[in-house]
Amino acid sequence: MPLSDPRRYRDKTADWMRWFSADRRRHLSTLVTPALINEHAADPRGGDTPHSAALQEVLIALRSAPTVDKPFAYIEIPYRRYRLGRMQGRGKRPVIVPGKVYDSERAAIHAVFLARLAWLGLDNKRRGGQGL
Amino acid sequence: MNPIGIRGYCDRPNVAPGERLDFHVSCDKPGRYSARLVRLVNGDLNPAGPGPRQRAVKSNIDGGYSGRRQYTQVGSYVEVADPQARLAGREPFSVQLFVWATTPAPRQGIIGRWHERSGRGWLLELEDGKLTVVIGNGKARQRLSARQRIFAETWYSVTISVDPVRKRVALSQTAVVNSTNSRCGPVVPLASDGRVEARLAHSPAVADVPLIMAGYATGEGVRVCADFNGKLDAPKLFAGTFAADDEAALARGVLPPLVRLAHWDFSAGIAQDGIASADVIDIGGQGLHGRCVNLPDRAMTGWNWDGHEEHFVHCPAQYGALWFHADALEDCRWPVAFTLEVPKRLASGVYAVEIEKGGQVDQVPFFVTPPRGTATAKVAVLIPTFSYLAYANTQVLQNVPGQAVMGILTSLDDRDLELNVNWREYGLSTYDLHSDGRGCQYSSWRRPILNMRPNYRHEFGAVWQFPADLHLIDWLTARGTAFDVITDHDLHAEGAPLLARYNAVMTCSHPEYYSGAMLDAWERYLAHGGRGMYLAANGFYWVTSQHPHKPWLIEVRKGESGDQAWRARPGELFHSTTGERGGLWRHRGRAPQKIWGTGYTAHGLEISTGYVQMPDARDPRIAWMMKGIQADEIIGDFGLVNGGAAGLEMDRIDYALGTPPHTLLIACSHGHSANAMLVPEEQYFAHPGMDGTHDPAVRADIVYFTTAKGGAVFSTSSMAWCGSLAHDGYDNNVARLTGNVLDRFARNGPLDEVC
Repeated sequence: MPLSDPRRYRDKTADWMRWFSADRRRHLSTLVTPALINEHAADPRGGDTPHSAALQEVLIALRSAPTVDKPFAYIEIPYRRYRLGRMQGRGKRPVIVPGKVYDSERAAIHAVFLARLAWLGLDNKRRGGQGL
Repeated sequence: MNPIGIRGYCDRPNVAPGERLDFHVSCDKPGRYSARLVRLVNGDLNPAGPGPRQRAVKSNIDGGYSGRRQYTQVGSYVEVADPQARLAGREPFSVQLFVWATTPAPRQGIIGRWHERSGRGWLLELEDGKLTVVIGNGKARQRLSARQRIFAETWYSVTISVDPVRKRVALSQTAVVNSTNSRCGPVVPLASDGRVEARLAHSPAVADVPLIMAGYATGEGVRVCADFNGKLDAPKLFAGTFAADDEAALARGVLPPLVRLAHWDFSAGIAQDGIASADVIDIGGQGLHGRCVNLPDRAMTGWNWDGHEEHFVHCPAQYGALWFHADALEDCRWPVAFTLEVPKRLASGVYAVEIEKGGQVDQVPFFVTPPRGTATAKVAVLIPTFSYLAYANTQVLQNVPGQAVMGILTSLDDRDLELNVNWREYGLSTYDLHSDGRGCQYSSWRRPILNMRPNYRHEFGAVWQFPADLHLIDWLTARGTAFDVITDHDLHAEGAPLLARYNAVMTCSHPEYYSGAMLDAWERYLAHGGRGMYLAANGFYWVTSQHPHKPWLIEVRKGESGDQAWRARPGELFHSTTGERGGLWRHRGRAPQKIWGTGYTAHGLEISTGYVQMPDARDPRIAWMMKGIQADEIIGDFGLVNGGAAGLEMDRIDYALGTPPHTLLIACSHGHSANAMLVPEEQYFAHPGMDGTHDPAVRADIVYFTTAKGGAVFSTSSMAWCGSLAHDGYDNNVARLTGNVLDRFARNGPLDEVC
């Protein structure tokens, strides 16, 4: 049948991404251990000691996740005060998470790490988070 | 999130003593603000560094001003004045054009003489993905929509006929798909053609507005709603309505036997040097020429592009499209707030106008050169204003690929968020995508550039471009070196004679965007005894055109390889403003290695490292250069930019790409991370291990070679280099090496040849 209405067709990549994300989440969850979290807390950038292969694998997934609702470190006062924020997409104000304030970027980035693990369902507390 | 509150811009980046520079200011709330001139030395807030340094300079602008929020017209469109209302639709008329919509679903105007608030006139628009004709008499609006929605990025021939005499209105759409012009090809069995006709309820009233393409006049605060995303090609209006066969003939490009009221050929004016004009030519004979607003992409493949020619200059008939974007911005066009009269005795340097209102501050940087035609020092710092333009207002880290590239988890400040939230008055950089996914190919100085501020740490997670370059200004100032400041804009205009006034010329940290004229100037200078210090990496990389009539604008088309934020579509790699091929200079036979010995090889954006010395470092012919540096020292394993002098982006030697055979390899960086990656043009077959832990090509090289007539080149090949100059009270081996070279280069008389 000829194609007459573009609304009938959607990008089937979404089907694959659902499968892929679930598969990756299963695998990555096995890597997220207290030791891995401690490794990140000790050196979020890996500038002192190169990140382990497991942490590198998890970090790549955290960086590559979709943007909307993604946690980031909000620089309230450079080098002095940081908070957690969540992007909402272009043209929309991000949500700045009230409450917790971080006095260093290093601490804020580790908080982002933990928040993204939770957001993506990789913190071994819940399942079915956002797409990776 | 703290509001920005006040922001400004100046007309151009470079100004000489005795000249005038206009400033434009917008405040969120009306009220008084103050302005003053400051000289900038350093801006980096990093507590490990020397900290911000600036001083006020008396000038004619000192004082208070009345501010308010300024209107910014966003979105590209074409307007045609039509003062005699010949296109108003009082008599029977018809319209045909080709349409290629990228985001067809939201409402967007395509062509019409339409006034939204009063509902007068006629308009062809998209509504819910359907082409729709709107006819308004000021009291009622009649809409006639196509039955079928159009497919995105698919060329259609679209016609409308409006006959106030016979009281008929008709609309047709016909897909005109070939193998190359649309997203899908002829194998897709499209059935979206159609024709609808209805009784015309009323005649269009004359709208007291211009004819607009890619938008419509609103009569509200937003003067033109230019929300159309996509291409238009060959719009034309005819007196009378189409006969039975006319619509099919027009879809083949054949004109009917009707009088043309107007026929705009967007390719008219294409010459050997491109089409830099904003003019839209009416070839219909009535002289109803139009003009482009906010720079629609020009020299775009049209409805009839068949792929046999990739250069619009060689086949303008197939490049009749303009590509419009709802978020394009050429010039904020705010009124002049005040004019700085640059004092005749003001020293060359980096300056800013500081505006303050209610505790909120913006600093608008600009660069004061020496008096025209003169030099006031033996050394010049070349400010990469073309590259500042390319990065102006980047919003990369708000997007997924940007975060993956940088190898970090993101930190953003108020300016990053302001750019993302209130994007309308800031525009995009050449690293961003328009809202329809097309890369942004033009960038303008005439808008607030929030990421070109002295104390801004880039969203990339380190100082970048302008604030990073102040590290060099700070070091030169701290050591008491007299220097002039010159800019890319000066170099493009004046060429080699500008450089020839100096014994030595230093680049800043990232001169990535270069015009051919600027490359010519460097080559000529260095080949005739000049000395160049390339304290940078990823320089001389993207072909960049300056608009020949609007020097505050640049054009860049990315592809076919390189570190690409986006890639020009097939047939669209050539620059509209000059006609030259875009992409990498490397692919045009001008790899950076030919001038500087090194060229872009890798980026390592989260961790910087130091350099190990190579055997050439101990060559007695350059003992003067290594004075005070022991053979076992790591050079630059410290610094404000990610902890080392070698990082962010890095260059290396490559004899196949033109590294001079007599180049001395002094040091190579090592210890890069798994996130440091070989750049795409260095990759052929993709394979594992193209990163800093495995690949020996992921490194920065320090090199030196001499040129004719006592000239020389010294390259450090790292964007992070200047961030290490201030370490340990400016007493470190990066500062020592740089100082040794600078002092020798600045001295009169030729350097000893090292061959």
